[in-house]
Amino acid sequence: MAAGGSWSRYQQRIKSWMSAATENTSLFLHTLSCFYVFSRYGLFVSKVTGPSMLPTFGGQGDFVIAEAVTPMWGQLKPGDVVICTRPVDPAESIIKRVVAVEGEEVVLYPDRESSEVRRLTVPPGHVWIQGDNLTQSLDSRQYGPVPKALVRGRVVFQVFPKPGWVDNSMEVVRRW
Amino acid sequence: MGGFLRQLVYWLPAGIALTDTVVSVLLVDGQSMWPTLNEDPYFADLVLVEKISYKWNHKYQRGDVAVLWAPDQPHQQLVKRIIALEHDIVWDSDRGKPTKIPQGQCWLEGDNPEASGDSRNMYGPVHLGLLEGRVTHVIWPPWRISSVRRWYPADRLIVEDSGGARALKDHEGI
Repeated sequence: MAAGGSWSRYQQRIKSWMSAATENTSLFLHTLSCFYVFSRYGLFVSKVTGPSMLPTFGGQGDFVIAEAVTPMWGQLKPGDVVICTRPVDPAESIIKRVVAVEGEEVVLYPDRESSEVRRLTVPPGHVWIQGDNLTQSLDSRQYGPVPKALVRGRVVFQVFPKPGWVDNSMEVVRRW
Repeated sequence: MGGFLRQLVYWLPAGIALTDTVVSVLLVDGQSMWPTLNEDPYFADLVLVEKISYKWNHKYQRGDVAVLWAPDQPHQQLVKRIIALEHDIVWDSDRGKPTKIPQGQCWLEGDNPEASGDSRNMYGPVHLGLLEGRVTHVIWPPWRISSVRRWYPADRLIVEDSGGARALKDHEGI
């Protein structure tokens, strides 16, 4: 009789452990999924490395906040700083500024790529992106217009080192 | 009723995360992949799309049937087969000349050339970052249930990147 009692108590302990484990796992998965949905469709943090966006970003470890709403459901406009999947390497991300949108004409002056003036119109569904630091940036001037579906977010706020809203206007481009 | 709705809302983010990152289903529209997909003119195929190969491993293989975002319409999905990868030289049948695929891009064609807008006639090389997932199986209608195999036409590839010029041979079911 005593042996039967302790077995059933053991069974009960296992059952309550298992239901707690299931509940904790499901809570964990739910939380993880919420983080995913929030960062993929809402706001996410990104680190900027490299000199291609000087002087806007130092490239030594700036942290920025980007929103995914505009690229997905709104309209990107010239001047927007964006985070994209890198066209030459889908495993990496880049941060550049949109200089022209679909339908607009881009004029490429002679540089190390070619010795003549080239004009092209940005095709439908694409954007033309350039780093603010023109001399040290690999961008649309080298790899052409970028499909909008590669744009993951529009940078809105810089957290570190100088907190402040990011200037998503063509002022920087006009100063070139 | 309220309990069911609450359960649904609770699991919605997990459902979104799962379909975005692991596996999802897609109802295939159009005849561009006939007869591999939508062989039956009266019933659209429902296919299983796995996201792990492309989104986690970034492993793209020639012959994959891929789901991708259209380069000219960011909200439109296409289903095409990967014929060539970056650095390959592919025979562009529409222009009648070889084309080298730039780094980070690929060449896609529908299995039904007459009904397919793809790299030959519309997009040229397509960025690998646009590829969303790989079609692995047809799961509906019941008489179409099968796995979708990796295959590509040997006559299209002139040079494969790995190891320089190579004699053309038929690649089937790899």
